[in-house]
Amino acid sequence: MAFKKTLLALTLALAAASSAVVAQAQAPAPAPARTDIQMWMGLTGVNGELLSRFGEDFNRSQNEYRVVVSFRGQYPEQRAAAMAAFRAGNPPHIMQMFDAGSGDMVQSRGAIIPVSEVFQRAGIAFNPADFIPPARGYYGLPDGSLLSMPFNVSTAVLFINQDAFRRAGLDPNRPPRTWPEMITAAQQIRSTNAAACGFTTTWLAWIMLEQFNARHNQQIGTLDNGRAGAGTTLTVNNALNQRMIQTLVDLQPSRAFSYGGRSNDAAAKFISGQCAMLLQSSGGLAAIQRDGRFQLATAQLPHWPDVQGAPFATTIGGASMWVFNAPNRTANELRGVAMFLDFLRSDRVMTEWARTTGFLPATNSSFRAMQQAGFFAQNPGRDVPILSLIEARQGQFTQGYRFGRWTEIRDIYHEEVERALQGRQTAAQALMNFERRGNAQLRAFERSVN
Amino acid sequence: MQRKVIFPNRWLPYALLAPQLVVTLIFFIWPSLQALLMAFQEQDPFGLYVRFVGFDNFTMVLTDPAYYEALWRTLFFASAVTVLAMVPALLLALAADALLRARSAYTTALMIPYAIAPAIAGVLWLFMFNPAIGIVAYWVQALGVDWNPTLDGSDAMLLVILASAWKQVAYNFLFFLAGLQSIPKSLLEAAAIDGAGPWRRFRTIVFPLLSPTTFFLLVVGLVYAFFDTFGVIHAVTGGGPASDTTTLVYKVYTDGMIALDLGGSAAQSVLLMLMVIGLTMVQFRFLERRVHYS
Amino acid sequence: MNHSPSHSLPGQFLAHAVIWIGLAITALPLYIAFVASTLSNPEIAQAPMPMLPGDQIWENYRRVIVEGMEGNFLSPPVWVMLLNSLIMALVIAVGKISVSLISAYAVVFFRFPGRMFCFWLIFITLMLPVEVRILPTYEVVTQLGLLNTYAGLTLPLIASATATLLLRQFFLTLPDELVEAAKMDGAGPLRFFWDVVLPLTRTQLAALFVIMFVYGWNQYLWPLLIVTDQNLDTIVVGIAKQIGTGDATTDWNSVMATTLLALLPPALVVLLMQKWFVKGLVDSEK
Repeated sequence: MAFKKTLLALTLALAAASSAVVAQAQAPAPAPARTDIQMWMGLTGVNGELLSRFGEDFNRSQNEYRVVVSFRGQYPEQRAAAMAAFRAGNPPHIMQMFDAGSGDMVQSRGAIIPVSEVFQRAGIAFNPADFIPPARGYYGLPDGSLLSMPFNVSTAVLFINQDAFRRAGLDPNRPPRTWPEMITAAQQIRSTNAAACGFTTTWLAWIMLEQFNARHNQQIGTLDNGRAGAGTTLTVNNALNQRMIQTLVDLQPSRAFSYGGRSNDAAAKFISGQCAMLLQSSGGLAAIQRDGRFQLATAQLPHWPDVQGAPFATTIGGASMWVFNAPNRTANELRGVAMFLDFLRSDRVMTEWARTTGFLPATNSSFRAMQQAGFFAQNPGRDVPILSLIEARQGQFTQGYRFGRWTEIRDIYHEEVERALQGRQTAAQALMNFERRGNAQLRAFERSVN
Repeated sequence: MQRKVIFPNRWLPYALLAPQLVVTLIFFIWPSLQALLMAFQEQDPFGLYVRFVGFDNFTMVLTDPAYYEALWRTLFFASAVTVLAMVPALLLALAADALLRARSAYTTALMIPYAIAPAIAGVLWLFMFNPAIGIVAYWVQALGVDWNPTLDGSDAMLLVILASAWKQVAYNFLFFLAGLQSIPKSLLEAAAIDGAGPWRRFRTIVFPLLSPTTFFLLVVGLVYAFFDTFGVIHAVTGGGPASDTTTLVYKVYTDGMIALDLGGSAAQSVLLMLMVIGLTMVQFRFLERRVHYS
Repeated sequence: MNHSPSHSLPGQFLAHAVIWIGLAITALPLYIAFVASTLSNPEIAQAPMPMLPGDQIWENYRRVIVEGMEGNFLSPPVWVMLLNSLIMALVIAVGKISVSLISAYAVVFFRFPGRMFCFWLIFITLMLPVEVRILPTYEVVTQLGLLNTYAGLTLPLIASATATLLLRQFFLTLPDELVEAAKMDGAGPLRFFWDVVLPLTRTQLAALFVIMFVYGWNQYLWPLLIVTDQNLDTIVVGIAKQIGTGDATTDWNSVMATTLLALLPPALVVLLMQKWFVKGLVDSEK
């Protein structure tokens, strides 16, 4: 009897409580005087916190619009949510989309409004030349306008453990500049057992495929890396890429190279002191500084000296801000979007963003502002990534790329190279399979958007 | 399965079923039909260009060797997880049932893994087994085993099997214990007085009376192994290395959400659904007749 | 006096031993999480992590509780997220159980056209993974205007095939004599349900409540998708937001501490439900 009474009471109490809560949550809020602007982002932790705060700062600075910044899961989940929302006729105003997803966004004509056009319609001045050249190239069109607005920008660098270098008898102030130097250093580290592994890399496809080919001004795909139009085919099965992958395979047995996973996991090997060198995104600096227990030096990515003109500039990573198109979007809302994006690219916001998060200043003016404020002088090594983007030589293939389904194609690269590292196939076979499977994805994508 | 003695009411059963059916129809059947329709279409991510392509997606899936690799992998994975999750759970439930003291404390402690969200559980296991910083990885390597789930496919598969089974053991334990606790004491006492030993009592009384629960857990466990293990694989290995832990459901996710091949992903879902329905029907047909319902 | 072997000393010893082995394995990840929550982040990063708790326990938990109480721009205060999780968990648990109870009862104790069809229709909901149907479900929820509402968060999750299946299993084991006796007493199906069936089902209901509560408590993907108002975030979403994406740093000690704190309410539910796990039948014997 007691059991039934308890059950009944519990159910009734809950019904009452939940209907009260439901009623409360749905009670009409006082009519907002402001227009809501929804922005979805994929950042968490300190970075997500700061971007959310920028939204609040903007809201406080004016009273026409209210920006709501929300986290909708990591980039793939967030993208799925945006797709669903778009299909339901209600996409967010702004969405932060990671670099590899750009091709998918662009080739679905009608889903987005190019950001240059957004500013133009709102009557707010916007000069794409403000943004650093690699970002402009990556997110822009041949006529110079921008499809999306670069915001959090990173590039790849080389971190070295100076203590391990000393132990190995290497000069800690001379990080390897070329790949032959890298190989020698890694082998020496292993032969003196200065560390359990010579070097490792994070973000395998981004660094070993995209950054690597940019650094040597090598084409990844026809039609200007896909930027000139549809119908591009991948062209990476060449001697240079084969040599790079083969190097990784050959260095494995002695642990001069040790594979650490496809994304960010390998950084832990460097931070814990296991590996003496790390190829990593510039954004990984904060974790190393906080948790590492050794002296750190930063250098640009190494290159093969026999490639003519190398080293060229590296390309960018990170994400940019896209503006969605929707039938019920008003000119007023789009103006609010333009105003908020204008706010985000201001020097004040950009410099605070770059200083705090470890992302790079995306505009030339914010970079100069940081220079003049002495930031780079006080923080040695922080200028290495940005210089590797803007001061290194620019080439035809340092402007990025535009491929549909690039996230999946990156994973195909991961799978094929992992198979080579496992010893199941040669470097040439890996690249051949990569091209074959990657091209199939590109063709399928083109079919789906037509 | 139908009881012999029932109530004769005509409209009452429909009224009782109505709430569940309504919610199921609106929030499951209707969206699922739309999802399944995508299997016969080709479209861009945003639904702006949709084209009917008949069975093309199915043809592409069924002629892809990677699909069959995922299929065998999934069967292996599902069997391993189901067995590994049920046997220890039954042992633990029998032990807990036999306890005279502190049963509540033990049961609570054993249940806790189930209370961890799958996303977080995956992160926890990664934290332990990560070759770089994982403490368990460190011990294993100290024992001389070359533990490297980032590159060794079998290491990775072992890891996701363990992580998936770990959560499910708690679930199975709870229901086994509930089932054991509802077996009348009098039956067991009578058997003991008749001279039956513990193994005999288990075989002739406990296991048969537990069979409805066992059947339930087998059905649910299979579904869990096929579908709900996605979260763990996603957090721990991401389907790698070199697709060595890509099960069928994970492939549905990567083809759908990563490659944005919505048609192919939907086609795979249809096939997966038919597979699981088939397996479940087999279970109902052949296993249920051995289930002892009073 | 019962002299069955399981009540003897060796039997008890064996039972305890098995439990302890099980505990060691199931508790290991949690113990490691606990240790991590008592260390500083560099200690965690410098492998191998120590196996004994560190000295940062008060600092870490204080920071998580006190600063978490204030919330920040990314997440609301911890108590708000805990409350959201609690509401979701309770509404979903009670909703799922109530709906499934009457459905299972209908399918087992009556005979009517479409009976097995209805059962399979309900059961089939287990067969399609949520990742696949999540996009169309989102559209349906949007069209019904349920975004950013508690109703939208809970209603789609209320139809449970698992509970229906379990209860159907159990109802099939009830002896025919019970039904006949009730009919002879002149009791209708609803009286029978309320007076006889329900009390007998208590152990299964207790187990189901625990499972459904935890299910509701741990909702992540669904709230993430349909809620933009961060004041409706659940605690699991809050924890996920602490874990750094990409190359960003993660405060592992804070994440572990919050995770362990978030386990307390479900653990409490398990403990409270123990009362209903009583061996044997309460009123009538079979």
